[in-house]
Amino acid sequence: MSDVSATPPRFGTGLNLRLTLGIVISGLVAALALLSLVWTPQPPTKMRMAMKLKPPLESGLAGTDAFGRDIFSQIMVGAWNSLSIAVVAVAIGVVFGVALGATAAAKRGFVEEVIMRMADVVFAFPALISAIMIAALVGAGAKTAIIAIGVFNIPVFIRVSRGLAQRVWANDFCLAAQAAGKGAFRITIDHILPNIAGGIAIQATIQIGLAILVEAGLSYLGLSLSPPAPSWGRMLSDAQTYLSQAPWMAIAPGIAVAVAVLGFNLLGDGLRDRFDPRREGRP
Amino acid sequence: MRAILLGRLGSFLLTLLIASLLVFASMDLLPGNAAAILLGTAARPDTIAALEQQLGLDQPAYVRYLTWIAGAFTGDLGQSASYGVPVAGLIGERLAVTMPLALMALVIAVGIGVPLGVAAAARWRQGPDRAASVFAQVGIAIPDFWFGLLLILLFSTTLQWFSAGGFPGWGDPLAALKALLLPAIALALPQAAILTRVTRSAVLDVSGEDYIRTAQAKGLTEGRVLWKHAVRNALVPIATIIGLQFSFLVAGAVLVENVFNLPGIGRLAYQALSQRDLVVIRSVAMFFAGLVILVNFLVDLSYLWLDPRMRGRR
Amino acid sequence: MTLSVSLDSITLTSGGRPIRTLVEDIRFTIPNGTTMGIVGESGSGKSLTSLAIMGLLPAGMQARGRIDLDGTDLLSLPREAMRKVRGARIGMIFQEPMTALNPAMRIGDQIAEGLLAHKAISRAEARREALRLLDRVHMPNAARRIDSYPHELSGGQRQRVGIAIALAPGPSILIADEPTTALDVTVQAEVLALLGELIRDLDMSLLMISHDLGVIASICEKTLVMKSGRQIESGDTEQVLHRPGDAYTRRLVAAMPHRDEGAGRMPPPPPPGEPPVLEVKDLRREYRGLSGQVLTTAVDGVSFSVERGTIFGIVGESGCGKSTLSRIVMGLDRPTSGKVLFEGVNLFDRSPRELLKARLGFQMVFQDPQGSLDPRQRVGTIVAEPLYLDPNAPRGKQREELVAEALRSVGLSPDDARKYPHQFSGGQRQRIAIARALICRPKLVVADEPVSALDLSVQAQVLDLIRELRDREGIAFLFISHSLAVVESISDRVGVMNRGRFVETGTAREVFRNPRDPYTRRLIEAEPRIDQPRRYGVSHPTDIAIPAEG
Repeated sequence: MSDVSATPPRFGTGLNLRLTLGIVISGLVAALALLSLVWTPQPPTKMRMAMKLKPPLESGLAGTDAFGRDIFSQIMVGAWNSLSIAVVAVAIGVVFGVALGATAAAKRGFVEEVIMRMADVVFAFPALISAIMIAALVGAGAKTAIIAIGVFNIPVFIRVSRGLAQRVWANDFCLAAQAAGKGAFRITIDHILPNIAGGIAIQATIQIGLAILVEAGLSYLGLSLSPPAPSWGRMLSDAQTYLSQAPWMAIAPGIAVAVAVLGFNLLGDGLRDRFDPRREGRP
Repeated sequence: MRAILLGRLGSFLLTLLIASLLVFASMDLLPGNAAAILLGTAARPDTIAALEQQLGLDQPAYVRYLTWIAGAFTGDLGQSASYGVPVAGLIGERLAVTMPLALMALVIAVGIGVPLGVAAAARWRQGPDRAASVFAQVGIAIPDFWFGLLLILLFSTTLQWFSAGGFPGWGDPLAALKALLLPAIALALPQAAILTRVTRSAVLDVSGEDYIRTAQAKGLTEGRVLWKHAVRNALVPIATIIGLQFSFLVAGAVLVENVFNLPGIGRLAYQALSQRDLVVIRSVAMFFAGLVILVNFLVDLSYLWLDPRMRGRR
Repeated sequence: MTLSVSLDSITLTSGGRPIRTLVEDIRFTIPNGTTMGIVGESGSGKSLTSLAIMGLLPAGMQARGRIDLDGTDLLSLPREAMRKVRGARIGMIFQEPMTALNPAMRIGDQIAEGLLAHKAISRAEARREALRLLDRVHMPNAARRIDSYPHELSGGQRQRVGIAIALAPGPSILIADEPTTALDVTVQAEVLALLGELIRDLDMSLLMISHDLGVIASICEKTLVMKSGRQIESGDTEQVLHRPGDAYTRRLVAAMPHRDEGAGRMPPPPPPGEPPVLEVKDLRREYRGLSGQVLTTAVDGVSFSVERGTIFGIVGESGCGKSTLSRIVMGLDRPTSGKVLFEGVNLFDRSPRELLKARLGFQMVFQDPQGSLDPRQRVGTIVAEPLYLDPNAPRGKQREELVAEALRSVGLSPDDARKYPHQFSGGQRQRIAIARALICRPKLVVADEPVSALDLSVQAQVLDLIRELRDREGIAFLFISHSLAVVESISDRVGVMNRGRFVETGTAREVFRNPRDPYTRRLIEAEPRIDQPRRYGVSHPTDIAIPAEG
């Protein structure tokens, strides 16, 4: 009955900064990505050898690459590519991961053991390694990236959703639902899922940021989209040869990745600050 | 206690086993014909058959699997199709680059991340905290391979303090370490950022516990309360994250080795990929997975030491 | 040593500016060797006051005024100076023994730590002193236990360690913030006795904070009543509790479950031929290990019956098996052997489908008003949930009517159906939980610690509601609690449970006035009551006025 906790109390202003920044930045990235579907400053794949290796502002916002292609346009289309791969991969993770995690928390016992064991095993394979394995078999491409990243996200969401679900199960209202005659499946639908949805959404936002990061790594190694489709990672790989001549080639795509990931991370953290009562007062 | 240790060990071995089955199933069973893949579509059937026999692909699946597993103990993991040398040897010599790299990165990451996180938690919402939070937030978002590129741009291309990549071998240890330094820093950055965040949040979480109040009520100095009570109990979640992050460290090593042109296992994986050398990829993938599982097992064991509650009652 | 508190205010600040006043105008003095209690409900600010004295207010809170300890104003001391006072001159023990000790540090070290922080002695000496202190607090097997970790000890033992830690540097005043609230009644009595003994032998002062008037009455010479951050009344304990001046104090004292209430009513005789609503025969619940050996027996052969329209109370300490019992009765768990007959028919003989249908007849109410309602559902949905059992249950408008009726019968409004749980107070949430239990018109409601998490005044209201439902609707209750006073005041018949069995059953009056079993007697003896004289820390029994036996 001690009515005082030692944690610092919550204040209004500082915490919302992250959420605001997150919404703004990730919104900007998403907007650019969508915009690229209808318009870019230059056609991104059009080669203009006369304009090759021009620095930023001399030709286009971010300069041109070794084939005279406008870097900024490539970045815009790259945004769409990265974002769509990331979202699809994370969606795979959410759908399968939450289903398995919620089942593990509801069934417990042997079923839970098996599911968590499988999650542990898949966890041991970072997306990069799986991508290498998959690419060796069926070749590189967007599908490879999506499967590799998606498969890695499944155990992430298994763990997160199981943890959250377990905490909800510990409440008496689940017992009350049992007393009302509801079975574990029904209770999961009625009570568990609505209560973990928020936490899952927050994690999904952060995972999207991570997926963008991973996809950049994959396309750097050529495991993701194939040319001529622009992708940030591959742009960086191309830039490496021209590092001394045209350093801007290496800087712009990297900034794009960092900003996109930052935006989604801030968004996820901001949402967590705002909605997770356990973290009150602790940014 | 012994029962707990045995249980963990069994769990570790089981996970390794399942992982190896997974690798084997995806590499050897599903794709059809590894030899055909290697030789390409234009190859003649008898050439394919000959290669199959050479690679031992004409044996039934479980024989191939057991041969592979047994080979892990005897040091014979098959022959690399593209290099023509034993895979085990290849992995062995590349290890000499990747392991030191990963270790250096781990040490740098922990050495920066944990103290920074503790300092941020101790000066909650003040200067050091805000600075650390910014560092953490930005550091997580920066791709390690891009950071590597930037480092090359700055320290090699511009300042000419370091070479742009490559590895001189361990003959000259100092030169070898110097060659690994920039890659290790690039690899360590996002890990340090994550550790800063996790450490800060773990210490803050623990600071809300009742025993911190008891420690303060005793009249202990702030420093002692912070380190002996708060951080000491925050070590469990921190260790957990180190374990979880290790798989990302591994992936990062693959990327960074390629950026800096280091002859490590990561680069081997990439090269094998371009050659479609499934035999090598199989063992490399298993190596990485096995490493991650091992590290997580060690972290699991560390809980027994870090959290007396896990040891069970006496 | 004299502690003189003159708190003008404790305020919540943001960026240096005060935004809310939490505590205002608290003034009291504790002379050397006296015991004082601060009593109040949750939100009264009593804990904040004690933290202000220790200089441990959370960041963002500021105390103004003067806290004088032998001439030094503690509020004006710089941090390092206050640290030297803390622990060395004022010691503090807290409520939750489970979490008040560092789980990663041996208890001997935790005691020695406090010593080393304030005295220049060697580690070996500090360890010897720690051992001595463990003996002083009557820790069994002290020499072995000194190297134990907290999780290896029981709650009562951990609290003893907490006391040893507080005593180590030799403070002259001890602040105890709800030190026994989380403990069983018998353990509580032991800890209070220990505190009394220590302050008497060491000539210390004690500031005890509690919501339990009985605990305050048993150990404090003086009492101060707080409400919403203000001082309501203060004076000699005997006077404050028996001749309160303020209306709030009077209400608080009246809200305490009294001996006379339930025990006066004789249960109506059961109608002949009709089976009791609930009959439990030789119920047994064992937990077995993997190899089939019995690990624990939570319920060890329990038999009792509950007649229609009566309240059967089960009282016992933690771990006695009462919660397991309640779960089996509710059909949420299967017994190893024995029968549970609901209106004459064995619950576990039936198929799961029939069992569900039978469930309509009995429902359950849980302890934690926070956790028993799904925060994401509206009250209307929550209350209607048991209707899931009944395929013939009405839908739409008619269902709404049922919900409205259920809400009305617990004293809430039908409009409340649209709201969410967080919009209600603890007591109201418990009413919602009761409404949920009532919607199927049950014959029996199993209530597992339904009022333990509620403030005293709210508790009284919910108990009244339960009595009303019994009288008006003829609902039988199986009322489970660890609090003797509550069980005594509400039950018609009582079962005292210990280690899985009923050591005694009978009418409330029989069991509590003339207990036969030694365990029952120990329980009754241990519970602190306000109508008994102060018994802990009493140095000269003849000096204490003994009020008339209640």
